[in-house]
Amino acid sequence: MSTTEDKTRKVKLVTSDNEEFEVDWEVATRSVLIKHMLEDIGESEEQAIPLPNVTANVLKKVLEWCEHHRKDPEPAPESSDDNRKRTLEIGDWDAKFIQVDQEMLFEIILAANYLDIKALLDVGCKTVANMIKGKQPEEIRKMFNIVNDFTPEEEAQIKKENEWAEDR
Amino acid sequence: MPFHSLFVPLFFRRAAQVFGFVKHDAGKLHSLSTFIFEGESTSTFLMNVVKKVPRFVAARRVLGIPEILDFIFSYNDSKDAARCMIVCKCWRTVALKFTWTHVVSFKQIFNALAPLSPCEKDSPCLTISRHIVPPDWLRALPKFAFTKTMCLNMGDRVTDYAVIEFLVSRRKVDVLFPCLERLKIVLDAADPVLLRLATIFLHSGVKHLQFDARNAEALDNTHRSKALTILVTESTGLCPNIEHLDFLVTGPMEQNKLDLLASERTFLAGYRNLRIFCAPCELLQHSILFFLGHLTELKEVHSYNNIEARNSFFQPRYRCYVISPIFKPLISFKNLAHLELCDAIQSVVDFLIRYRLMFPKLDTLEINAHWSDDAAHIKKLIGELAIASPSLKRLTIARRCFPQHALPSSLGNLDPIHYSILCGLAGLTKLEVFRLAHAWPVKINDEELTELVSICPALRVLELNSNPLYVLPSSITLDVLGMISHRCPWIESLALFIQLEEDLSARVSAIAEPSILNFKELSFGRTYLPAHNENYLVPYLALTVSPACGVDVDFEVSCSMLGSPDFLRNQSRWFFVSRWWKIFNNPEEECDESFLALHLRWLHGFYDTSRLPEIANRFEEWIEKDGRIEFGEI
Repeated sequence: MSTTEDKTRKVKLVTSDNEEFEVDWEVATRSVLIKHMLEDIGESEEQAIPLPNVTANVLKKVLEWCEHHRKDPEPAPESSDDNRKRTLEIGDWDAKFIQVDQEMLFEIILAANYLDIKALLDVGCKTVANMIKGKQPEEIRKMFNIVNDFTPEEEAQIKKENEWAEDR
Repeated sequence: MPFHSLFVPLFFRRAAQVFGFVKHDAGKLHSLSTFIFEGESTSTFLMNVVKKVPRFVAARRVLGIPEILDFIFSYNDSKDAARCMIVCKCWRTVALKFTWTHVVSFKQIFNALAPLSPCEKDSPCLTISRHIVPPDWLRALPKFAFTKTMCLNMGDRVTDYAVIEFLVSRRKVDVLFPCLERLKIVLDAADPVLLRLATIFLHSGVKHLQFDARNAEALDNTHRSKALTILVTESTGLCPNIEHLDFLVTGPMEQNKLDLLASERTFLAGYRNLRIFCAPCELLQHSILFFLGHLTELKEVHSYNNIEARNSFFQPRYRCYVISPIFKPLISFKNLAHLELCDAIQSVVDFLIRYRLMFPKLDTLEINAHWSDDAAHIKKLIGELAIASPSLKRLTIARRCFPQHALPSSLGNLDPIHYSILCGLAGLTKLEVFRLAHAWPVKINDEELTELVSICPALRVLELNSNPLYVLPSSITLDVLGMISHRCPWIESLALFIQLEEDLSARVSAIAEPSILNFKELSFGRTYLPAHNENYLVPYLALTVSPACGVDVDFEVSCSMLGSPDFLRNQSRWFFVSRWWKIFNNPEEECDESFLALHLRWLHGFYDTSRLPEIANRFEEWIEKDGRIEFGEI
């Protein structure tokens, strides 16, 4: 695959609500899914890639991220989980980017997961991790509207076992 | 009510279809309708269902995918994971692993076996409330199997010894934490017998052991010593693969223990693969270097510099452990690349001369020396290193003033570092970075300094004590920047204490063209910047230095800070200069922290922090009066 051509090459993406986006090859291939699809269809075809799980407003946001990170180096091949740096810090640009309403945040996570954009998924998950940090279970349920499906006895039992987490 | 209960499922199915819920099965729809009802008065229900359903669609999908939950939880600590377990069943399953990956309390371990209750009424000491039976083990061991790291505080007195003994006996049947790789033990004011409990977790998979006794001052020495002996003997026996051993201690007791280790070589077999050893603190003796020499795989030695953090220092002990030369063949530093020492240079030099050992791979050497070392010791050290460590690239020597020791009454006792001493650096042919810091006064002039750099062609970074504790009038002028830049284009970074009394405005008007081209970083540390030159330094630099060069003022605030006249105003002038330089070269750049914030950060940690708010309130006065203001009662 010649890199000079890749620079100028455009890719067409079609969202679930039938909106078409034309983006640079370099931007689109931030998504491993799209990259693999492009490899499959080969270079000659000018075929649009359908993305049935992503709506236009979400894809717009995701492409904004890809555009800004187009020059980022390829992430190192997944080393063992322990070696990955477990920090909650998010870069300045990403932090501003992810300041969206909760629904959009989760839409971005879903899209990043589907499109296989590891670094964006990272940003989204860190944001959610930050929201959870230090919160009580009841607050977490309220924040994400999660149903408590434990019986009161079950809940009391787990609370008792995890009592140590509330020390100091 | 009957009306609603009939209406809701129907209405809901319609609403769900509208909002794209068709894919979900009936069970999920049901649970969704339950949560909508929870905490809502039925009268507001219709309003809310319209608002809420779309808002949580993606959230519910994301937070129901175990792989993504796994990813999210991996960013938080075990306490957060423990809370997440209580949220709902799906979360419990995913969070369980993270609750146990990093264990931070004994209570968690015992709680997994059986409920805890206070030993006596109102006692903080807990005990297991009933006998532990086989099903308890069956329940707990799978959880223990998740544990990779453990940080146990011996101050958390949880249980009575009977239970500990019970765990000890269990170890014969099962390895309690088979995946444990890192164990950190914080020894507090508790009974060190509890250490016995921690050591039962050790096995051959443990690679990283940290022992922190910095807060164990309340313990008497016998107990501390006993605790450490237990740890060392158990770990050497049980963890043959240990790579990283880390001691954080302050008292001399542990140091004596290391002396003992060095003399009893039988202990050492287990630590052969030791990669990083954090030496206890200052004034290591021959025996410690001797001890390190036994660890033939040793690559890095890091030392905790607790000099600013605490006031506990040892008196220098110049009694030398004379070790028989017959042991010399047993020790080697063949793999050592990084060495940090808090030691008297005198003692290091003695060691080098006595044993004539080579450090063939030594790349970085940092020494925090004692103030009683003098210029002659530095000269000897540089000479010895040129023989013993041919690969040395980075050398840092700092001399510390220890609060407990009386400072020399006059500068007469302190030989400044002259050119004749520094020119020995030319013998270290690979040397790229040389830093001399803190309490070493340097006496060198422009020509000598240029000559020095010119005989060290590998040198990239030179710091000649830009933050001196003992201020001698400097003979270095701004001329030296042009001279070095011209003659030694290889140098990239300079930190100097410069003489800036001259009239800079005259210099500025005389400049014809930029003359200082090669530097990436210039630092003037605590150089005294007189008020009359405050407005001329940046124009001078702008006309002579390339814009790519950073101008940094590495103010190092020390305990002597308030003693030197005009010190704080000088700091504020330099802050102004570095800020101006930054804005001049990069007008777009956002301003970072204020001088006040920076200053309070410096003060934090060694100054009476309860005064900080008052200093912040009266900051201008604080600077103006050089820190000599009267405080009110707190």
